Amino acid sequence: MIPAIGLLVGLVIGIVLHPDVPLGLQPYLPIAVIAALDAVFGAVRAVLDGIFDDKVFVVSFLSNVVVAALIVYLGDQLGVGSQLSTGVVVVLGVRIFSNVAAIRRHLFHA
Amino acid sequence: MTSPQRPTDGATDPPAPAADPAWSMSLINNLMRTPLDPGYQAAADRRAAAGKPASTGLRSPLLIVTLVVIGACLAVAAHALRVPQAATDSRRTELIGGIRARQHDIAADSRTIDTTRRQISRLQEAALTRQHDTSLAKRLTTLELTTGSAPAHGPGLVLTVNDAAGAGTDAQGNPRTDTSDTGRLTSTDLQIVVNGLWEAGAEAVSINGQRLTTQTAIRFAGQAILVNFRALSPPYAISVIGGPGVADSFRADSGGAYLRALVSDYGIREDLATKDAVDLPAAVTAPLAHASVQPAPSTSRGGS
Repeated sequence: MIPAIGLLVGLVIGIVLHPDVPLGLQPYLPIAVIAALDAVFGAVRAVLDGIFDDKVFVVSFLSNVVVAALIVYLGDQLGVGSQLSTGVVVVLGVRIFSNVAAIRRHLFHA
Repeated sequence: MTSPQRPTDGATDPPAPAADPAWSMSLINNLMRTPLDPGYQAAADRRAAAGKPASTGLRSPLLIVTLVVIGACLAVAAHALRVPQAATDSRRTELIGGIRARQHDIAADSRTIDTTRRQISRLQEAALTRQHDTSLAKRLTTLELTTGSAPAHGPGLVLTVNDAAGAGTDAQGNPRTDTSDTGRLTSTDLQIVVNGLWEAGAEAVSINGQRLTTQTAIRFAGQAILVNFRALSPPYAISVIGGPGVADSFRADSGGAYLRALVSDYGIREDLATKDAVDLPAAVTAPLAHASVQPAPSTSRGGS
């Protein structure tokens, strides 16, 4: 419950403050968001599995975002930015979907 | 007839897990089956070994702070990525609105021009009749008809020519970006056909509502045919005012022969319909600002 409230508080803070993102960072935002979502869904599944660990969660979140941004940056430098972004989105999307499927099995036993 | 397959091979062997035919897909299988970060399991095992509960619980300040950060990230990202699209959308609608407004302006201006021109001709006529100079009025009307600055009405025919069925257009229906041009009418074809019509006795001609005058050019711009500098799109309806013999003499003439050759060789579609009444619009002629009649040497032609 408390983590959900924390997430909501963060959303409200972001909406209220809505700071301007520098233009140079904007290509990394979608990838960073998907990486963060992957970390969140992994954490939810770990909670339901009963093996949640806050340090693992924080580290996985940070490393996900940093690695995703790095991949996009590297791709931009090599001229294959959009292809690498697609690759990251596919991999993280598959992970998110299977994590959500596991969560669904936990919650609905179906 | 013997079967090429060997029934003993493979049928007796039990399916060995090492010979998984999908071993090259193991990366994806791995991704699909164990999406959970193995770190969670490892940490849980470590804690279990240390005699602590497997889960650390959900109340650590680190977790709360991270989630607040994630929430803020989500909101900021959604906000930042949504705004530019809205901006481009508004610019696009603005542009479309501008285009619509200009088109509206053009239509209104054209209407004004039309009414003004009608007023002018009415006033001219009135002035000339007041001066009891009906021959001048008649001459003016004839000249207006000949030069195409007045709408013409009369019996005639409508000759519709169209590109061959296969030549058509590209996926967007835009004839200008298509590259296959066999079976497409060119400006030269139209010129020859129109010249044939003039030769056959046409008195006034318009193509797709563009009246042909002395200032008209039928020309090519890329793949499009321009008449009076307006790009036309097929089918090209050539409206002709002329006597009843125009159609026959056109058929018999070189223009008709050329069109027949186009039809038989390239599949150009044509349709000639004789009409009791054809209406041709007035041409938008540029006013002559600098040209004037060369002063005639002594003999005056008079107001015949």
